[in-house]
Amino acid sequence: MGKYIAKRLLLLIPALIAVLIIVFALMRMTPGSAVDALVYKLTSAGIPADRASAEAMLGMDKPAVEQFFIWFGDLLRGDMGNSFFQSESVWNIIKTRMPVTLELGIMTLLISLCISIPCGLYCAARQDSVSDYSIRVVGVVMMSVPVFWIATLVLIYPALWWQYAPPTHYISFIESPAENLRMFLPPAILGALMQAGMELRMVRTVVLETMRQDYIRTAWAKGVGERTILFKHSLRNAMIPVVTGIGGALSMMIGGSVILENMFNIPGMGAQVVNSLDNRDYPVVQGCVLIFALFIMIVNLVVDIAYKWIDPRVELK
Amino acid sequence: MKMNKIRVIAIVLITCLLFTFAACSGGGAADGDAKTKAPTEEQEVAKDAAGTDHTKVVSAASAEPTYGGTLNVWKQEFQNDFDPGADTRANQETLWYESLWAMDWGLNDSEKYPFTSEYITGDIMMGQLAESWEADYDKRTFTVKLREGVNFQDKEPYNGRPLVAADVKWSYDRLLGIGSGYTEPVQLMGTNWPEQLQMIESIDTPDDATVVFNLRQENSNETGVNDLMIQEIMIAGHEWDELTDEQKKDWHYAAGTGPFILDEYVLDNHMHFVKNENYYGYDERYPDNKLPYVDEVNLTVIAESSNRLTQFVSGEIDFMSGTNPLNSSERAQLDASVNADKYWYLNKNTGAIAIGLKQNNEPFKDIRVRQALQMAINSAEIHSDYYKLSGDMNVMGLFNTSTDYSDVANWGQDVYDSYAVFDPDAAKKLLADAGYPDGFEFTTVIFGALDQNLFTLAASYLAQIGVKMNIEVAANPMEMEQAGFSKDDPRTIFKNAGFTTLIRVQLGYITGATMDAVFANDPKFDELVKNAMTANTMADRIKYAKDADKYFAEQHWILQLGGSEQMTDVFSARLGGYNGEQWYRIVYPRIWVAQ
Amino acid sequence: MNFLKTLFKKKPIGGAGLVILVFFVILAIASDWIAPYPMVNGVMQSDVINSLSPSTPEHLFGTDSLGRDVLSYMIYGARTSVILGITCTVLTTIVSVVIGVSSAVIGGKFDLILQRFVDGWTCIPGILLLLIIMGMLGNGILQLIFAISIPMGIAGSRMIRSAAISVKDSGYMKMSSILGAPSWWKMIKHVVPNIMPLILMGLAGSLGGIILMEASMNFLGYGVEPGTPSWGYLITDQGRSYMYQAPWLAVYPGIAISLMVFASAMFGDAVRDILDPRLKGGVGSYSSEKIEKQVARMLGGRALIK
Repeated sequence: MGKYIAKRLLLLIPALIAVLIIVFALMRMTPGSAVDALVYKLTSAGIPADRASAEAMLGMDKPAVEQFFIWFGDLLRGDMGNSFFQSESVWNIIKTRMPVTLELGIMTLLISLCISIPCGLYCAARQDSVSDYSIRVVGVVMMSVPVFWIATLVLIYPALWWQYAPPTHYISFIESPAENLRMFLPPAILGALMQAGMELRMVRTVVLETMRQDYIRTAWAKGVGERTILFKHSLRNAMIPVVTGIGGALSMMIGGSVILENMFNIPGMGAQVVNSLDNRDYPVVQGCVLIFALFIMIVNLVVDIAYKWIDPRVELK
Repeated sequence: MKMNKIRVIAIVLITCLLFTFAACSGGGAADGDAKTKAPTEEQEVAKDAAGTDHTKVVSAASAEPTYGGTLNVWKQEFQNDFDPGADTRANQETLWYESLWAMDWGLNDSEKYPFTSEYITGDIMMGQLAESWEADYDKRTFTVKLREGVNFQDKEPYNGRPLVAADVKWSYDRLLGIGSGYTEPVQLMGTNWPEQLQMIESIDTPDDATVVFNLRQENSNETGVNDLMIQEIMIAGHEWDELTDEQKKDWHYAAGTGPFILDEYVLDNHMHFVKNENYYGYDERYPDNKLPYVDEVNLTVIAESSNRLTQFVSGEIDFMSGTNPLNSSERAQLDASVNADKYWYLNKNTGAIAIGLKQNNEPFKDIRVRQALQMAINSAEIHSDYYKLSGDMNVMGLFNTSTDYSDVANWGQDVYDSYAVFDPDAAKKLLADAGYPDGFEFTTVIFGALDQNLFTLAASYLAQIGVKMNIEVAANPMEMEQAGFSKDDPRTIFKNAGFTTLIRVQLGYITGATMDAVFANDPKFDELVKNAMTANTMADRIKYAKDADKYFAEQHWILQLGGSEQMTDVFSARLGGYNGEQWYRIVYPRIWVAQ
Repeated sequence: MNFLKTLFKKKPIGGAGLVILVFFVILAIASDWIAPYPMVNGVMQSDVINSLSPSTPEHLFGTDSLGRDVLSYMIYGARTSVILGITCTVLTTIVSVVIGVSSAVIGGKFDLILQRFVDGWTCIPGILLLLIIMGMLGNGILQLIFAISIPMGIAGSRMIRSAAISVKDSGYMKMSSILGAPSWWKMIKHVVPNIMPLILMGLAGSLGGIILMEASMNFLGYGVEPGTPSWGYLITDQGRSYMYQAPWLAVYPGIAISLMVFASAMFGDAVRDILDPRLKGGVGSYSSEKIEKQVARMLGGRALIK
């Protein structure tokens, strides 16, 4: 087990380097953009500027490979660079925003699990019944309706009917849990509903498959109650793919947070990425994507270890 | 079993379809109310189905000033830079920083001064930190007497000390690199103070309450002094130099002489201010009342427009201003669902939406082509049916019609008609005469926040005469403008008519930087601009600027798309003591709120 | 043909899904003929005077804010969605197969390095990647196709690679290599047909997700070019802006998108069920081990876990 963890951690490093290269290359796909933005900013203030001087100011006059190694070297020393257009270091920006996105992501995950597991179990237990179908249809509808459209409904109509508006001022959880939750619950619930639609189907599938196993059939034959079968036997085995699925779900959650953060005014990293991308603020985007990727890698690693721990029969590569 | 499944699915699907049709017919009933008209700048009145005028000031606040309460303001974005010389577009710093002058919002005589003019003179600028001023062209001096009894806020790094003339000198010197320890102008993104304030040669401070600006020879005249009296220079003190780089970025050290003290700042989310108890100001309308009235101010950034609507409707936000905080359909929603006595609008002058045609490139070189394109656009229809405005269409030239530089009032009917015309057949013929019987193709660059539908509509009009317009979306205005700067770039860009400010033209003239490929390289135009910039008196400058404005319009360098985008400020009835004009730096402390 | 017969007989819902998808494809191909208000010069016809009108005999689904006929817009939108869907799916599959199979077959250092890149790639959240690529490339349907397929393809290559490895190491392959060193080309020729079922499973079922991603991109401002009819745009722009005055504008694309998601999900499930009864049921995020086991069982070999 220890050897496995060590091996996985080691493999993390080249993957991380790959992420760095990918992110850097993506940003440089249209190298002109940040330079153009700076040239415009200067020229519109009446300062004569041309691309050469702007490039020098941004450190982009060197060849791409050299820029990459400079960035990489800085990273090793813990310096993520400075934002091009805000007078802040990238790390400061990320530091303030990361906990916000994390909080939203975790809340969404927890709520979606609370919805999908019971529903999935229920559907599996009552396979092919009317309730099974209706819940599944609702699940598919939830999956297929764009989240921003439902969020707009949620934003506009309660305000018109009941004068209700979600809070816009961010207060951290430590300072005031109640205020904080008031702000995070609406988007978390929305996101969870979207997620639950998908997870529901997965849970149902896995539980069904588990229930087909011979040992379950034996248990039936032995007269074990349905509840025990469901919760004790099936659920435990069904948890394995669900746990694995969390890794993928988290990735989707972060993606979904981009839209939800934008709509509910939550100052998180998703919103920051969109803003910085609009402004062609490369260092910030690079930093954010890097942190996201690192986070997901760690979560996947933890999930794999948990997987192995739950089911020692399975050997992992 | 199988039949059950199919039945269930069928039932669900049919229910969905039924809902659809219900929604359709429900929507149909609302249609009659849906075509609400939004007001135009010509004081057209917004009437919803109940016939209420939404541009009339409504106030639930008492007629007499009351102290206390919180003011909640929406902001587009935060500047995130606390340097006193920073680019002041976002305007939030005016809560804690002040300058020598501020634009008069008619407090002293609202009958006399329109105070929406860009033409800034002693008549229209009121003194903020400056009490009085006087120019002596022979001695080349401009002497400013500072107000007595002004103290900095009781916050780091000033800790409540009095304001002195040396602070003013310091503030100007560092931007120009002419003293107070600065030999080079300080580098600040998005600003070019040395060019803008080039008329200042040096600054003297004979005593703690007097500042003397020594003017350059060629700027010692009416226009030079006019250009000196700007409100963008924030006054701070030398303590700023002693701060570390970290502290300069820390909001704990952002302080000035202003009426509100910044006491909380969450990056790109919100700012919270408390009243400065030691503020020097008194209300000009009620001379015994010490300012400010409200106890707290909240500035909140809300990115999503439907969230803004929500916050306004539920009373969390009292005031929204900027580039269309609510779009026209959201305003319609507001009108139709919230009592008219809870809010009101102010429509601000904006430019007419247009596409700038680069007249140095084919095919736009030929004025016939430009005119043909204008003839193909049904501007009247856009004005009345797309924007749902009544009254006459807005047509603008180079400068905004509210400024003294605009010549629109003097244009003949023929200039106006040349923009209002809609004649696709004549357009096709004109195109053929110019050598394009089969039309042509071109690309327009717009940026994401613009109304893409308007441009799609324009494209469909142009398609009728055989011209294909492709629409490219740039992520931000900067990238779009970049396409506009470059003369060789064949793409046209979005341009507001009437949106060029004198400062921009001025800076372009001084630095020689290409402001715009749209009006570049026309000798006659360049001559007019040059004359305007080198004029000695304001009267001369206005004359030449007007000529440039008219020439610009006659040349059809921009393809105007009819109607102007309403920049509509939205006010809650909670606000009192404010007539809506010029939401500017001096307004915050002079407003009270309903308790 | 056999496949279709089995589909409709045993899995009628999946068959219904296929029928819906085919319906959309027909709409897409024949849009210029079916639409009551076809495009002129590549641009939809506008009729601003009649904007935002509800269902009338001339405009069965009403009009939008520019006066465009919503029914025609939906039909042309189907074309955009179908093009997007089909091209993305095909491209995704090609990318997955190329990367997965080559990685498995060539093996060694190439495999090691390539897989690290794939690992890295899959760790970047999908929407972010999409956002960045679209932000860099600009709006447009070609860019969107590129931006969606490449990441999805790379992510999918993992599964293909696992399956390819199992096949590669299976008994009869080893046998044939004993008889004579096989060239890479031969190995590929053997491997690919054996992982066909897996490939087909991946194909179906991803269509709905692609459409949703396009709608989200339009919302954030990075989708198709303005003027290109697309369901995502109708919901994002018209549906949201005129939610109060013209709610039907969002309902039609909403239903269309849901139908497509539903149809592709059901069809995908049915394909999966038919091709391997033991994998019955919905989408599961299985580890590569499980897939290997299943595939190996499918091929009649013993369980090959390394």
